[in-house]
Parts: sequence; structure tokens; C-alpha cells
Amino acid sequence: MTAYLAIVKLTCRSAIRSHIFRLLLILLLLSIFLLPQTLIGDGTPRGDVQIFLQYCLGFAGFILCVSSVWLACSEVSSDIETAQLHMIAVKPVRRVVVLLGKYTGVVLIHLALLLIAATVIYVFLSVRLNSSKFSEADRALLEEQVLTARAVYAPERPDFNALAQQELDRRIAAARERGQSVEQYQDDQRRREEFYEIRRELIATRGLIEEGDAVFWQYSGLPDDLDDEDIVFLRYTVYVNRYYTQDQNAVRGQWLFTVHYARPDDDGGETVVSDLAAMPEDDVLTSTRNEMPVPIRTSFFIRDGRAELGFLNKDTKTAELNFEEGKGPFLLVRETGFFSNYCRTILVLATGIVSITLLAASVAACLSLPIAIFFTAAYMLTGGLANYIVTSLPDAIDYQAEFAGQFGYKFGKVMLTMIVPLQDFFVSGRLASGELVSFGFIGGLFAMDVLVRTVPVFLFGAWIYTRRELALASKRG
Amino acid sequence: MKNRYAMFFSLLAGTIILLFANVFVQERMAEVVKEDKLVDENFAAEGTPPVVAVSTMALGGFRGLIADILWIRAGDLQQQGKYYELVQLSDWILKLQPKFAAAAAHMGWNMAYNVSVACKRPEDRWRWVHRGIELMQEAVTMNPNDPEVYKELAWIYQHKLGNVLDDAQRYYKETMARQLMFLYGKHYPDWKAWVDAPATEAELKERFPVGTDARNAIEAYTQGDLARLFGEFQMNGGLPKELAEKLSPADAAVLDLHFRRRWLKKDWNVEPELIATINETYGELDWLLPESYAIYWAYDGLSRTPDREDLPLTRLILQSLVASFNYGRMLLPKENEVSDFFLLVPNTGVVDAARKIYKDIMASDQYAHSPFEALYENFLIDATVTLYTYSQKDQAAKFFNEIKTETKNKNAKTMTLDQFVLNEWEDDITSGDFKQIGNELEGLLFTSCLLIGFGDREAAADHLALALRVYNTYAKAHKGVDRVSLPSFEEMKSQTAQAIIENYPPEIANRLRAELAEDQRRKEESDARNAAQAGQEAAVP
Repeated sequence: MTAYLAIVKLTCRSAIRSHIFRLLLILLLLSIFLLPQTLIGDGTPRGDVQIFLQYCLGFAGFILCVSSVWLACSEVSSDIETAQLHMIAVKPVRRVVVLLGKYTGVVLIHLALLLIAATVIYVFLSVRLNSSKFSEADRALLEEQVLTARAVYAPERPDFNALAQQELDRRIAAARERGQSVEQYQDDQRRREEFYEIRRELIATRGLIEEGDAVFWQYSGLPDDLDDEDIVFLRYTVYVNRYYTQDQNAVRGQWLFTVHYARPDDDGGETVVSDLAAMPEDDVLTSTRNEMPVPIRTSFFIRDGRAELGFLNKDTKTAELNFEEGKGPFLLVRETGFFSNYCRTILVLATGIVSITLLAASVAACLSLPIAIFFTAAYMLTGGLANYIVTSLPDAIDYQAEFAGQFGYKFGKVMLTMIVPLQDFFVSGRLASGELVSFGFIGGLFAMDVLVRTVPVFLFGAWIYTRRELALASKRG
Repeated sequence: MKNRYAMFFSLLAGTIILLFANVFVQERMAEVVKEDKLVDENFAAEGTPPVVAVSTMALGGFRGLIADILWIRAGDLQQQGKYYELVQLSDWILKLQPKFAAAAAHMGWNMAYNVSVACKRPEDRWRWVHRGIELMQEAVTMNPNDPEVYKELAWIYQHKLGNVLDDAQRYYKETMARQLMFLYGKHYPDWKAWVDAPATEAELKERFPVGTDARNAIEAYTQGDLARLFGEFQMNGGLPKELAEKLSPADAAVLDLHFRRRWLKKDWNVEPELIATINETYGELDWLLPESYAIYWAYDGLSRTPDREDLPLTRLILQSLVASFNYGRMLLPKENEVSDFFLLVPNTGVVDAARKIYKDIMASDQYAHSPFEALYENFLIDATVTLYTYSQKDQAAKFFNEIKTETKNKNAKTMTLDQFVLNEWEDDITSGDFKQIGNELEGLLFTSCLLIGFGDREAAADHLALALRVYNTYAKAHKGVDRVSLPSFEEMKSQTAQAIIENYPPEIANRLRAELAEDQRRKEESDARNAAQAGQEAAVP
């Protein structure tokens, strides 16, 4: 243990002496102190705070990640290359302890820096909030939408595969009934094509509302213990036709909420009745993220953790309104305060540093300094690109995607099962949008990105480190 | 060996000859570079902006890659309806790729048009339009010789702010006018005095040398920190009273204008010299209005093109001048105080300039087959009617003569000016339905009453006379058809005036009320005179 602590201490000292670490430290200081002065928001207090949180935390986290990669690689591999390791290796210390000690030193120094950076940013934010003269309305908006932590509930997603299969079966049966040929459905490839076409159509038309029509969404898993004072928010984005069309403008619509209330029955008891409450018709802006409090008492709206709402298209000017699948409407329920959420965001960043450093240390245990850095950087880049490909090509798995699209999608999927995507740890966007960073999410990240994906790599690195021939170092030394 | 020496010396001689020959063409090449504006004059004189220089040096070829990533991010965020990062991302993209003028133009246009309409409140919309304008102004600074950016910037002023297509257009005009009025200090500044005012701190110090009373007073107040005084000036819209009292009126005026022109440059990127030139070229414009700024940017862009020729920019100047002619003067209830009850009336002073541009364009070979002739004829007709309606009958007659001589308009050749103007209205009257005519009449009466409220009696009288003629023509055409009969003219006039008195600010209402009372008094006097005359006539056997 003494040896381990001594190595940790030595690593910290050595880190502080490193020129590149000092440079990164300066960059970190710049990002904390200078960046907030140069940021330009959209001019609203809410936008200014959002951009401050997102960029300051994002930059600080990124610089710390880069610094931890550099330092871990440098501390582990340069010791071998400069023969410094012999000073330790000749002592009765196991090599795994050496590696762990170095790793711990690097992680500790970065966690300390993260803590300092997070504290300074928080203090800056508090000063900014207290010294700014916001109007009452702006402050209320800020507190409701940014300085809070709300769990986001997405509507239940229909089982599009089952629906598509049902529709396909119906079409085949209808064709048979009409005495038409069903030869086209005998061929597996053709049937698959038809299936995906139907599925795609179902997804595309799920939130499409023609004039006079309404679409409803159901929610489950909502908290049951909410008081009537707890406000539930509704966040949605609606488009005229598709988001990329030029027709975006204000449209007329009406929100509908399913409400539940108890009514005395003949037996002297109470029966719960469900009804539809229609809000006054209003102008709704398209192509922008709208947010509003649900204007219904929470106890009427949420029952047994479930809720239902709908939207009625009352616009006579436009053809169709579109709530695109996967883009809400979302229900937001306050779970905790901003400070708690801020700490959780920092915890996620800390998890990222632990994971990235673990990876960099294990790679450096096997390779030389430049190659280790290159490998780790390539690893992180691949993770980022894989994530981008997978999220931007959601339908590529369908038959219609070109070979390159399909290959990219599958490659991205495979990569994501093995690689830790760096952006998983950057959740300042969620913090800035007032969305809860839940402990479940943090636990999942730790389990998947640290325990499952990185620890085995570290064990492998440690094994190589113990088996590695250090004679090269002695020759160079 | 000998051959190698021969080769070496002949190459050396060739090089020397070419270098020597370069002396003769160098000067000409420098001239061509200057004439064709192949380098940015601003950058050559003042150096590249520091942020651009640093990003160019530090990031090298990676600038493009980073700009691409930021561009993709901006697109993604916009698709999600998250706009708060857009200003920052656009700013970074512009700084990373300062010469990619088309990208900057797109980003500015996107903010002014697409993002602004995603906001409900007019003040939010204005903020986005203004952000777009600011970005384009920065792009202009980075690309002073690129007409595309000037065109886009002028277009936003002319189309987005000047036109009536946006629900918040009146708010835009009012806010812009408020900000500019605060900056100018009065509605119609003396631009020549602005031009004479020192433009920089160095020029100011030159104007007030060490030891002069003015210099002593300024230094005693600022303690050497002129920037603080400038900040104070922008906050209050004028010099601090304490300092102004210590300066002579002439010195105070110089200092005041110095700060104002610096402020104009800083916030609007506009030079008073160019404003004065434009006023001289096209006529006195109202510089509270967006059309004037559209002309400014289009003119500036045009003056930086090699041969001062650029069709889109020329068209923009023309469109803005025509718009300015139609609505280019802002009438305010109180002098030098912008209110949301402003009225836009024609700026008849620019009509000759607009006509000249039409003529220049038509005379140019390049536009020989364009539809400008028809447009020109319509312009002449509109100009004649507007000038006639706004008490400029001589000017109207001049334009009417041009319609006669330069176009194939048959009506003009057979009618007098009065008949022609009324005929233009009659076209609408005879073809329009009851509701339409009612609206048009109400419009004329409303404008007439408002003009009284704003103090322009002459134009008000012309509008009233025209309204009466329209009314009489309509009444004659629909005589005996009760279904489409209008209330009496006096009744319509009184209702319109009452609506304005009830809904407009006291300054306008009081003027209108006084005018109506005066009208009533005159009418009573005239009735009494008539009655007396009738009595006298009856008394005569």
C-alpha cells in the first residue's frame, strides 16, 4: 500500500512538471475564466444561461479528457522509454501496482481539477444570476425551464414491426379475397421490401394530422406521488408537413387532455370517470421547440402513472401538421433541484475521466507514447463517428439504404457495442435544458462504459504490462 | 564543364532580365489589383482583424474542418428547434471562414427570416432579425469587396424590415426608428455637420489641442478615460450635463457629433459621409426607415464593384427608392419622439432619382429586352397619382407629361391630369364591389384625418378632395340602388375622425379635434352668411 501511495504521489508530482499538462491547464483556466466573457447567447436570459452552462462545462470537460489521455499515456509509456521504470522495477513492487498507482495519480489530479473547474463555473453562474436584472417573467422562465431538473417522459412508441406485419398480412389476405395474385408476397425479398415500406409509412404518418383531425399520445411510468402544485410541462415541436419545408409558420391548434375524476355513484361509492378536456384554440409556432405547463390539475391528468393527451389540427391554411416520431411531445416532471443536477453532471464527467484514463493507461501499457496517444485518440474519434452514424441513419437498416449506408450503420452499431463514445459523458446540454441526469443513467454509464467496456481492456493492458520485456528500456537507458 | 558554366550563366542572365522586366509591369499590376479590387482595402490598410489572424495562424487547414462541424451542429440544433447556440456558432463559423461570404449571408438570412418567425413575441423576432443584420455587417467588414453580402444585407432591410409581409413589421420599424432616433438625437440630423465632426479620438484631439478650454474641460471630466465618457454618452443619448455646461456651445456640438458618429459606426457600421453622398445623389431620405439603410448598403456594395455595375444591387437601389417614394417618410405625433402611432407617407423628394435609375437601366444595352418599360410606365402612373394626392401638382404634371410622351398609355393622351388621376381611382371604383369601395374611401378619409393629426394640412386637404370625388363618382354610378348605397360623406368623415380621436395619442387627437372644431366654426359661419344672404335676397322686392 505504501508503494502504491508513493507511486500515486510521484505521478502527481511528475504530472505537474509536464509542459503539455501545464499548457492544457492554461487552456482549462482560459475556458473557465475567459470563455464566459466571449460567449454570445441569443439575447434572452434563458439562452445566455443555457449557452454558458453548455459551453463552459463542455470545454472544461473536453480539455480534462484530452489532458488525462496525454498524461496517462505519458506517465505509463515514457517511463519505459526513458528507463525511469527501472528505478521502480528493481524495487519489490508488482507491476500491476505500478500501473494502478500511475492510473490513480492521473485520475486523482484530473478529478481535483474537475472539482475546481466545476466550483468556479458554478460560482460564476451564481454571480451572473444574482447580478443580472432579469424581468420577473424572464426569471420565472429561467427557473422553470433551465434552473431545474425535470425527468423527461416520451410517449409510448407503438410496436411498428407488429403493426407493419399486421398491415402486410391484411394486404395479403385482401389480395387473396379479391382473387388477385399474391405471387409477389411469396418471394422473401419482395415481402421484406413491402414490410419495410409499410413500416416506414407508419412511422412517417404516425404524427401527421390533417385539418380537423387529432392525434393522441399515451404516457406511462409517470410518478404517482405528484401534488396538484407540481406543474407538469409539455415540450413539443410541430412542423407544417416536414421540418425542411419552407412553409413553417404559426398554425391554429388545440390541445386535448384526458382527465380522470371521481364521481359519486348510486351505491354511495365513487367511480372514476375519464373525459376529454379541450384547451382553447391557440396559435402554435412550428419548427421551434415549444414548452408550456399542462393546464390541468396534475391529479386529474396523471392516474396510475399514466396520462394521455392529443392535438387537434384546426388550421385551415395548411395541409398537414406533423409531430415527427421520436420528437415528442414530451412530458417533463420536476424531480430535483438545479444544484443536484449540476453535481450529477459533474459526476458523469468524472465517470468519463475515469473511463478514458483507464483506457489510455491500458493502451500505453502496451505501446509507445505517440502510438498510444494516436490509438486512444482514434478510439475516441471512432466512438464519436459511430454514434453519429447510428443516430443519423436510423432507417439505414431497411432494405432501401445503399450498401455504404447499411455498412456504415452496422459498422457503427458493432463499434458502439465495443467502444466507449466520448460524447456519452458530455451531458451539459441536458443540464442546460433543465433535464434530469438520473442516477439510473449514471449507474448505466458506469456499468456499461467503465465496467463492461473499459475494465477488460485495462486488465488486458495490465497483463501485457506485467509480461512486457523491459530490456529495450535498459538498452536505451 | 564548359557547357555547365554556359547553362548557369544563361539562366542567371535570363533571371536578371525577367526581374528587370518586372519593374515595368509591376506598377501596372498594382494598378490592376487596385482597380479591380482584388485585395480588401480595409485589410490592407488596417490589417486583418486579430481574431481572424489568430484563428488562421493557429488552426491552419483545420479551420475548414472545424467550421464544417460547427455548421452541421448549427443545422442539427435548428432542426431540433434549439436556437440559443445559433448566434455563437454563426459567429465562430464567420471567424473561422471569414472569406466564405455566401455562408455568412446564408446564416444571417437564416436568423433574420427562418429563426425570427419561430418566435411569437415581436421583441424576440426583432432580436433575431437584428442578430442576422449584425452578422452580415461583420461579414461586410470581412468581405468589403463582395457584392453578395451587401445585397443580402440590403435585402433584409428592404424586404424583411421595410415590407409588410411579417406580422411584426410595424414593431421592427418602430424599434429601429427608436434606436436610431436615440442615436441621432433628432429626426433629421444635419449630415454635413456629422461629416465635419471628428471621426476618431485622434481627430478629436487634433480639433481640441492641448491647452484649449475644451480639452481641459474634457480631460478634467474624463480623467483621461474618453471611453468611459463614450459609454456614458451612449447610455444617456447625449453629453453629461456637468460636462456640457463647461464647454462652449460650439465645442459641445463638436464633441456631441463626434460621439454620435462613432456610435453610428459601432452599432450600425454606417458612415455619415456615405449618408450625405446618398442624400445628395437621390434626395433627402428619412434615415429612421429601413429602406434608407437598404439603399445605403446597396449603394456601398455597388461603389465597391470594379465598374460600379451590378444588376442585383442596382435593382435593390431602385426597389428601395420606389418603396421610399411610396412610404419613405415617418410622421410622428410628437417631434423627435418615436411612437407606435407613426404614419408612413410618401417621400416625394426621391421620385426624380428613381425615375433617373429607371431611365439609366433602360438606356443600358444590358437590359434592352427586360420588362423595365412596363415597370417604368407603372411607376410613372403611381408617381403621378401619389404626387397629385400629396399636394405636388406641378411635379405630378411633369410625370403626367412623361406618361404622354414616353409611354404608349392611351388614357394619358386623351385626358387632363385631373381626369387621369380620377380615372386611376375610377378603375377601382367601377370594377370594385361595395365593400372594396367602402374600404378605399375609408382609407382615404383615414389618411386625410391622420395627416391633419400629424399636422400636414395640405396633404390632408388633397386626400379629402380626392375622397369626395371618389365618393361622388361612386354615388353617381350606383344612384338609386339602396343595397349598395354609402352613408353620407360627412357621416363617413365624422366617424373616421371620431375613431382616430378615440384611439390615437392626445397629440394627434387634439390637433384633429381642433381642426374639426375649426371646420365646424367655418361651416356655421358660412351657413350664417348664406342664410343672411338668402334673407337679403328675399327682402329685395
